[in-house]
Amino acid sequence: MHAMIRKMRQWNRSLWLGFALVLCVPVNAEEIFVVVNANTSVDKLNRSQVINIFMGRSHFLGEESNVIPLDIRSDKQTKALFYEQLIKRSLSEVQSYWARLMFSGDATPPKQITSYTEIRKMLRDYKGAIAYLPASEFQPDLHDDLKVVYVLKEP
Amino acid sequence: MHSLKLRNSLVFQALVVFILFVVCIGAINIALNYSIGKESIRLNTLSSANGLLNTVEPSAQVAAFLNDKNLAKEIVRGLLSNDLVAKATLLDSSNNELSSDHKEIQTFNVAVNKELYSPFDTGEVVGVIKVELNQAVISRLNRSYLFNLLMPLALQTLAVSLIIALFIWQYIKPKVEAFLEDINNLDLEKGEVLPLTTKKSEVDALRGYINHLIERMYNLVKTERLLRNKSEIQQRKFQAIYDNARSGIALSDRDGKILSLNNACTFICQSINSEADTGTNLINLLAANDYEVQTELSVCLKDSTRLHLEIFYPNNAPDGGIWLQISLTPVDDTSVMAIINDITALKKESLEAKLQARTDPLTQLGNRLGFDQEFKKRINKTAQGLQSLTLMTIDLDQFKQVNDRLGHDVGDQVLLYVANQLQEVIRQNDYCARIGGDEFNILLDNMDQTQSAVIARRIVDSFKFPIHLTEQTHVCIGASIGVVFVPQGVQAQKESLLKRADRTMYKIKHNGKNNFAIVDYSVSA
Repeated sequence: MHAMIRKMRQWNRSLWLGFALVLCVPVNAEEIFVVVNANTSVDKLNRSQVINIFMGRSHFLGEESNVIPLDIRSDKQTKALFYEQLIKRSLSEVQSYWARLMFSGDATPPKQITSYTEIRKMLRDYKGAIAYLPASEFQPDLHDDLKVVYVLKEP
Repeated sequence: MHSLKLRNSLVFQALVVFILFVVCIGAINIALNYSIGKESIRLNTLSSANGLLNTVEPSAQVAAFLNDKNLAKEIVRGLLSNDLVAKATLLDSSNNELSSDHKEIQTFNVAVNKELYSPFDTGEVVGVIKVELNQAVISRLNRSYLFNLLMPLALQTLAVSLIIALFIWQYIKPKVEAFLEDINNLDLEKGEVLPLTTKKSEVDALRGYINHLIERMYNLVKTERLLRNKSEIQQRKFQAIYDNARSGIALSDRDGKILSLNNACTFICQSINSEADTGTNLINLLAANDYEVQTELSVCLKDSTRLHLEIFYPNNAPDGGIWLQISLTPVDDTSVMAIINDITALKKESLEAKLQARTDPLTQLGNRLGFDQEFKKRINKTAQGLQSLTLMTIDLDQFKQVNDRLGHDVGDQVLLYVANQLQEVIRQNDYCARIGGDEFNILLDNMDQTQSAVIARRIVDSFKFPIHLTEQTHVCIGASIGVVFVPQGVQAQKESLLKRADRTMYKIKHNGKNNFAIVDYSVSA
C-alpha cells in the first residue's frame, strides 16, 4: 500500500516536470525581424528577396550593390529557427550548401558575427548590411537607426 | 528397292518443311520480341537518363539558383562521364546557357529535359537541365538485345531439327521402306496379302486397310473373269445363231450405215438384186426406188422406234417378185438391228387361199363371195363418178330338166360350157360369177345401155343352138337376162339393184324366156 502511494507520488512529480517543459516552448517561439540600416533605400523586402540575399544569389539591397548578410554565431537557437522558417532547412543542411560552393562558386556565405551587439553595430556602420534579430534583441524605439524590412513569423 | 534421290526423300522433305516452319515461327517471334524489346530499351534508356538527371538535380538546382557557371560546368562534366550521354546543357531561368558540352563524333537522338526549381522555393523555376543521349550506345544495346534473342532460338531450331531428322531417319524411314518392300513383293495374282505384326501402330492399320483393298480387288477380278467367261459362251451361242439363221440380220448405225451383217442377209439382198456389205446404206439397200419406205425407215432409225414392214420387190421371175418382211429394233443409242425374212412363199400361199375362197370350183368363175366383193367395189367406183356399171342377172332356161334327165355330170358339163361362153363374150376386166346352181351374174364397166344391150343379145344368141356335149348327147338350153344400167355418179343400193335385176329377169321368164330386158337404175320403175 505504501509502496503504491510512493510510486504515485513519483509519477506525480514527473508529470509536473513535463508541464514545466511544455510551458517553456512559447518563450522560444518569438518573432524574428530582418533588419537593415535605417538609411537604406529599401523599406520592405519579400520572402524570396530575403532568401536570395541570405543564400548568396542576390548581391543587391536597393541601391546598395554590395550586400553583406550577417549570421549570429552565438545564438544557435535563433539561427536555426531563422533558417528553418525561411527555407525549411536545418543548420547542417545550410552548412553543406555553403560547403558545396566553397571551391566552385562565386557566392559567399553570410558573415559569422559573435554577438547581437556587434551585429547591431555593423548594421549601423554599413549601409549594405542585413541581419536577423530575435524580438528580444530589437526594440524599435531604442534602436531607431535600424529598420525592419521583413518579419519572420511562425507559420 | 531403288535408292531415292535426296530431293524426293521423305526425311529431307519433312526436314525442309519443318525447318521452314520453325524459321517462320522464329522470325515472327523475333519480330514481335524485337519491337517490344526496342520499346523497352527506349524506356529503359529514358529512365536511366532520368535517373542521371535526378542524381545531379540538387547540385544543378543550386547552380541554376546562383547562376554559378563553375558548378554548372562540374555538373555537365559529370553527366558526360556517362556513356549514354552525348551532350549535356544547363540553362538558367532566362534560358541563357550556364554550361554546355558534348562528346566528339556523336549522333544525338533522344533528348531528356528537366526543369530546375529553386532549392528553397519549389514554386520558382530557376533553370533547365538538358541531356541528349548517344544513339550509337542505344543501337549497340539494341543489337546485343537482338543477338541475345536470336542465338538461343537458332540453336533451339537446329537442335530440334536434328532430333526430328534423326527420329525420322532411324525410326520412320526403315518402317516405310520395309512397308514398300513388302508391297513390292506381293503376288496379287494369287491374292497374297501383307504380313501383319501384333503391334497396333498406324502402319499396321494401313497394312490392314491395304489387305482389305487387295482382297476386295482380288474378289472383284475373280468375279469379273467368271462373268467374262459366261458372256463369251453367250456370245458364241449368239454368233452361231447369227451365222446360221435363215433370217437376214444386219446391224446399222443411226444413219443406216451397215456395221455388220450375216450370210443370210447377203443372200436375201442378192435375191432383190442388191449388193449388201458392211458400209452399205440400209435404206438404199431395202428401198432404192420407194420414197415412202425410205422416209419410214429413216424416221424409224432416227427415233429409235420398232418397225415392221412387208415390202414386195417385183422381178422378172415367173412368180413376179419377192416379199420381204423387215423388222427394225433399236439396240442402243447408236445402233439398230434389222431382221429381214423372205416371206414370198407364205405370201403366195395366202394369196392363193384368198383366190380359192372367191372362186367357184366347178367353173373357175367367181362365187357369191367373190361377186359380193367385186360388186361393192364397183358400186362405190360408180358412186364416185369413176365409171358406169351394168349388172346382168342370168338364169338358164331348161337347165333343171337337163340335170334331172341326164344327171349331174352332164349338168356340170353344161355349166362349164356356159361359163366358157360367158367369158368369150365379156372383156377381161368385166366380172362373171356363178351365184347359185344355174344362176350367173355379170358386171360390166363403162358400157352404156346400147352397148350393154349388145352384150346381152350376144349371150342370148350364143344359146340358140343345141350344145353338143358328145357325139350322141346334145342339149338345148336358153338364157333369160335382167340387165340394170347404173349411170356414172349414181349411188346404187346393192340389195335394190339386185332386186331390180331379178325382177327384170323374171319378167323375161314369164314372157317367153330366152331373151333379155334392160332398165335404167336412175329411172324408177
